[in-house]
Amino acid sequence: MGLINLAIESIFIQNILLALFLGMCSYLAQSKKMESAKGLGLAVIMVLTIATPLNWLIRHFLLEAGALRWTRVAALGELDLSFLTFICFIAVIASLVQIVEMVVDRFFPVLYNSLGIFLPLITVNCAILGASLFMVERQYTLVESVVYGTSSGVGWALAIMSLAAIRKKIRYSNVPEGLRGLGMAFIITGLMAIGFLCFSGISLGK
Amino acid sequence: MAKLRKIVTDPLADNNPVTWQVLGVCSALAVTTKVSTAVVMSLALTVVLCCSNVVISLLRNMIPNKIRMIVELCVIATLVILADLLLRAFVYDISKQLSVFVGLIITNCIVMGRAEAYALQNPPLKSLLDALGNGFGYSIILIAVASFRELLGSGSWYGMTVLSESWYTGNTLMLLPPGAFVIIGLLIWFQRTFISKTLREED
Amino acid sequence: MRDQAKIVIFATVVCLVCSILLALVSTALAPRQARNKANDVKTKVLQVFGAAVTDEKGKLCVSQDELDALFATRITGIVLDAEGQLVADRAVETLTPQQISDRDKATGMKAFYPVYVYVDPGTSEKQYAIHVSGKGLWSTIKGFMALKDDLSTIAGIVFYEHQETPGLGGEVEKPYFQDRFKGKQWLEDGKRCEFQITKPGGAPNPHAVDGITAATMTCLGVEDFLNADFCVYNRYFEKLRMQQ
Repeated sequence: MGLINLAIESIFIQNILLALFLGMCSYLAQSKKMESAKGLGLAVIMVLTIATPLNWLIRHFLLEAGALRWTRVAALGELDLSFLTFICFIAVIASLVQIVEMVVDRFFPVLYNSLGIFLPLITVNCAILGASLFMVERQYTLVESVVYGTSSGVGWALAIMSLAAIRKKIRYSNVPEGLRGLGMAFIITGLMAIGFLCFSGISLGK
Repeated sequence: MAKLRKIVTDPLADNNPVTWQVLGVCSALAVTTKVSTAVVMSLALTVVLCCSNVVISLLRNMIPNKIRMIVELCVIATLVILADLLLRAFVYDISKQLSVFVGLIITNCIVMGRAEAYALQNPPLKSLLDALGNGFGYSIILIAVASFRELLGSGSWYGMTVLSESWYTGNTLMLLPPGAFVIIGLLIWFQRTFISKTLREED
Repeated sequence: MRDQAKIVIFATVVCLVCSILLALVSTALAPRQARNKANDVKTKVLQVFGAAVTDEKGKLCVSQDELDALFATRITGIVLDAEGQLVADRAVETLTPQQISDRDKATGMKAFYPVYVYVDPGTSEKQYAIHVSGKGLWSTIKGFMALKDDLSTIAGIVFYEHQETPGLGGEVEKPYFQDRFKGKQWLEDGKRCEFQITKPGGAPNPHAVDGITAATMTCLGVEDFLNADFCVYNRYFEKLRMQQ
């Protein structure tokens, strides 16, 4: 039950894009076409699902104060490497993205054709690092971090696909010249965020 | 000389990283509920951006092309952690305000974007100027958005009460995420209509 | 082949340089950072008791030695466990931030609960400060709450660490919000009652304070952890009240 609540919470109530502003850059740049929005959305779900638990393992078994106790080496047992958290997380994400790209290319060529060009973009998507840092801050367990990663990705994909759909329609409207494109995208996002605010009234029980 | 000056002034309005290139918006929105945090964030970002651009520009002939992204990330992350450690040791009060935002600098696309697009091809001095220009361009937008949000949302500016509570009730929507989106949208409209000379086609 | 070797060597060198640099700086600055942290706790404890150690901007206005001396002469610390029992062989200084603010996943309890006792130099009245912490909306909020001699009236509250949204949940750090707690009561007819953070504009209530507009989630979190933490402390306080 707790896991379902966590999923609902991170998809709707605390949507990583509309409530936390993470991953805005690629969201605005890639939402002009539905096709690319879908591709990028899927890629983000995939990377978040793998990266969040992977970072959990790294933090839990390598970086935290006393995390190296499993090595049974006395000198390592009390080591606190948490100052390396940022750099490790970002390195894991960057290399993970490259590995995923190679694996998808090798085994799922069809998927690669639709996702391929979006994967490198994800390295600089703050949503991925953001989710990992929130996972640390909120002290999730390994299972929770898998659920949190996946559902954050779903929330992000939901937001970018909705924006792409709206932008497609708005192309037929008479938007003032200076507001066309980026300006309008921001205002639409604002309106979508107001819509998502309604979800914060949901009480999930404990 | 004029050319060098253009490197700095260009990103301020004509080619602003936030409003034209859609870079670094994430943090631009999250820290703009108060002017004071926006100012500190702008300073921190400008310093990190300058250092990273210079370092990457110095290394530009050595970095193997295949792993350049990871190397860039590595340099940026190291600089950010260094900044974080120094802040925590010497200006503890400021570091407490900044704690979340320091981490956000790593994922700020401006730093990565400028390293990739400029510092990799240009000598250190030019890269430094480019970083300064982009840092200031980012700061202008950040502080402008924060000014609107704090003024309309809490009736104050930089912590000083401007609109007295006796007749002005703060508009909470401005402090919530949607307010930030709408204000940036309107700022872009304003900038594209009145300031930017070159209008580009989009959509 | 030579290209690949070059890539590997370059990557190794970059990693080594970065990690050695970071490790050096982090080790060199660790004592300074630890002292800053300890000072911060001392300042906040003195502040919650109303001792003037900071100016109106929140800057420390006494020297390091004075601060240490003030803390050493006026304040004694005692440590309780999750049952509210006195732990005689632990000193508050030896507790790590994790031990006093991380909750056990299963029981929701923290490992240790520190209490600071302050004797006012003028009136020689005793005050007690308890450590309160828990989840707000985004982050863990940590603070101290000072209680008067009757162990029910709130003398003050200070939140010293949080990462809530500035301007919304972040307002918990503002004096105007913290002042609302002063004089409120934990006990009703000698019995502990639920302390509430209510929507602004309700009828005055000795066991409730007005919340922050548009930061309902943060306030709910604060309300929850204040009650949970006081519940533990109260077991010890009940014994103290019996002795009085």
